[in-house]
Amino acid sequence: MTDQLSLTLAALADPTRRAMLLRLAAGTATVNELGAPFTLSQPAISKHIKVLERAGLISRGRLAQTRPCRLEPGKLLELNDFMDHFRVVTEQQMDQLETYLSELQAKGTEK
Amino acid sequence: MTPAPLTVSRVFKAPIALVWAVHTDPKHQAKWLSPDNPEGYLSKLDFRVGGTHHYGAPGPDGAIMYGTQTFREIVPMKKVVLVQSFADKDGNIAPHPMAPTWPREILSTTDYEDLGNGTTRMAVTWVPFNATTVEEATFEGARAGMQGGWDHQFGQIEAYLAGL
Repeated sequence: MTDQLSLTLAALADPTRRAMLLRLAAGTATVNELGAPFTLSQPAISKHIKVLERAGLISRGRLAQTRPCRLEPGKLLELNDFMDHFRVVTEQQMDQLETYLSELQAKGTEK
Repeated sequence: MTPAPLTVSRVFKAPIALVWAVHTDPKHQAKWLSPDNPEGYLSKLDFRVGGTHHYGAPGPDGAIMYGTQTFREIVPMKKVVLVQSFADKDGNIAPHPMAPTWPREILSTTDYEDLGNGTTRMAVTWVPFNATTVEEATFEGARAGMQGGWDHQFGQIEAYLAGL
């Protein structure tokens, strides 16, 4: 069972791939440019890029031999929705609890 | 690979006994978990070690989100450890409605700490429980998206998307 969102989340599970996505948020980059900050072998870099590509987070250009990588917005937007949902079930519940506690205590002092 | 935990904590301006009561009693839970529709909050609670809590909270669209919890450790005003899952209306464990490879079971630990002066810190920590490799990767992706500073950096990507 590999739906798109799960592929996206699994791709993000690795810090190297997250760093690559952030680099691409600044503009397109070649495979060499993407791999430059890391002390990883060329095959390891290629593997990370393939995972990002398969998850639909980046695409490869057809231009010349460098085939520059670019960020693909669609999957990131879908991911954003999921993160929002996530924040709702965590932070928002804490907010609601906080509001309720202060209401309860306000009532207590009115008596 | 054991995934790093996801932690959310908050300091409440309320004494620990009140925070404990409000957080663990379904009558209170209905009021803060479902503030717009407390009557719509469904709860069947057996609050003891080995006991379960089957609950349903109406979402913004009116659809009820069911969950189930099994208690593993209860130390009043100190700690609750439970295994949490999404569920159907009958209490059977169900996949996450948006991400089917989200871990079926999450080990959730809530720590309550009296900070004095009528303030209480509550910290909720999640780790996948009995998870498959795929479930662990799904959890780690979401955790990384929310914590570890990456949520701020995520803003950079949002800014990029907004400029397209």
